[in-house]
Amino acid sequence: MLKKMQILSLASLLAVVTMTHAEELPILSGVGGNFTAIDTDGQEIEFTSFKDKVVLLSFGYTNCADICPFTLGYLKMIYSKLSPEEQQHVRVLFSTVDPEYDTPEHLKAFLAYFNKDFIGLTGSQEQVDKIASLFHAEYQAISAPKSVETKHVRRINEKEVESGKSDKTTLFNHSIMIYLIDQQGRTRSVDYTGTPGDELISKIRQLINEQA
Amino acid sequence: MYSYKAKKFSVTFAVLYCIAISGEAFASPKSYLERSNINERIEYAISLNSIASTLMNWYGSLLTTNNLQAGNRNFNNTNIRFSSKNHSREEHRSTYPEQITGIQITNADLKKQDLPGQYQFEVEVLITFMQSKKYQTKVINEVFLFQISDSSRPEIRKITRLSSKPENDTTDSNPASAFQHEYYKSREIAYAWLAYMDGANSMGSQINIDHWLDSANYSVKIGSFELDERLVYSLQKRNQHLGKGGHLLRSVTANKIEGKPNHFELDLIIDWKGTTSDGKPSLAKINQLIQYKLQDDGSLMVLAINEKHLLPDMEPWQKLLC
Repeated sequence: MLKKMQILSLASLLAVVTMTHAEELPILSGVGGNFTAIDTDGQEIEFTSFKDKVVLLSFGYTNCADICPFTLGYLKMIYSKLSPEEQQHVRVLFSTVDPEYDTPEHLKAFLAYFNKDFIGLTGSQEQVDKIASLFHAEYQAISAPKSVETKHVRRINEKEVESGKSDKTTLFNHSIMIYLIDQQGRTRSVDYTGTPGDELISKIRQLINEQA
Repeated sequence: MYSYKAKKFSVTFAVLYCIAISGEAFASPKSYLERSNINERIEYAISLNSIASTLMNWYGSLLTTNNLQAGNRNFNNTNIRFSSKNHSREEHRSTYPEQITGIQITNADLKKQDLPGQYQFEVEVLITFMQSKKYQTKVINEVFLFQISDSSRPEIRKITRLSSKPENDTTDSNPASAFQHEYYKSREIAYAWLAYMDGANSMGSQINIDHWLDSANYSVKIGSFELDERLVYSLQKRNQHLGKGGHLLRSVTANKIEGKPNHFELDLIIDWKGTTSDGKPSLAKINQLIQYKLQDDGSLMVLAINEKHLLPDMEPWQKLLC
């Protein structure tokens, strides 16, 4: 029993030492800020409503055949490695770059494929542009507007369309960054799917444990 | 390699040759960005910027007035401070060729000395000058000993010539045409402004700040935090928002404003590292556009400054689009 306690004490001490030596994530000045958007429940929200939560934010669109499923799969893995209590402190946001196609309902069904807790952000083109601009995220259309039939796109989920109508989309390229935002709404790190999972989880835990 | 705890520190600007050509500024050395103590970083940034501004003023003042463009007649009105009457500007000027048509800084190395506020700046310059109606060049290595007082205004204690090697080739055209008065004036202004922003109030006189602090417009965009007021108010609010830290110039480009004689725009990229008001470490990559006019008496009148914060450069993949 005594030996077990000694081992536990040593482990606790090591944990404290490790935490002490963990480098504090810097605030990235001018990256992010407050904005409004329509969430996947169709409600207008302000980003400040995520105060006291650690936020992981990425950009993309539901007809993205390349990086978006990969990024969301990565975030699904990261989120699943957090304890239920830690998950309570974390919100995963996905802001579309194609608000015309990505309605709240469609975005919700798309994200549910990865995790039903994930929240999609859409809205007017102006709102979406503002979010991208605040985070210095870039995107641009790489096809003519609504020129590609979605049946030719490798999609996660199909959008419901009126029968007899063809479903067409625009293709985009976009930034691949995952923004890690603290409980005060300040961007503290920029990561991507190449960031080792343990490293990103460690950063998330650092921000969860920060004094609000 | 570098330890601030040691009394001496050395920052080698090994890439300055390329920097001088491309319009970049004195590099933000890695050691600066890694420095953890905020007060040390501020001291370093102020020292480097105020010394660099003085050095730009000095080399700009060596260029002959024949090259001056209309309206910029008084570039040579240097207000560099020398610590001793025995070492006057004229005395030092006499050690350089007379008709200097271009000066290119090819290497520089700043070292802090043992005495408080004392710095040594070793500089290598390629000087182009006219002699017998031909352009000739000379490589000069010299050391400036600077003393920064409490008010952070540097004065030159001594200039020591280490070597002076004439090059053999002569040409009919000026090989250093890009490194003339505007080049040095723009950098003198940029470095002095950064030192002033970090708290070196005395550097304000270098850029005539009393004449425009209350009239120039200063717009700032830091995420969703935005200001658009007279400079004197915006600067105070902006610094409160940003916190304590030091600015280092990464690049500078000077452009003439078309249709307006003697009007220029400086395009600066600046690295900032510091701490917020609640003590959190903070990083910024700042773009400032400074519109100014050089008046007939050579003094500076800043008209407007537009600042926006960019995504700091941290990872090579961050600009990737998929």
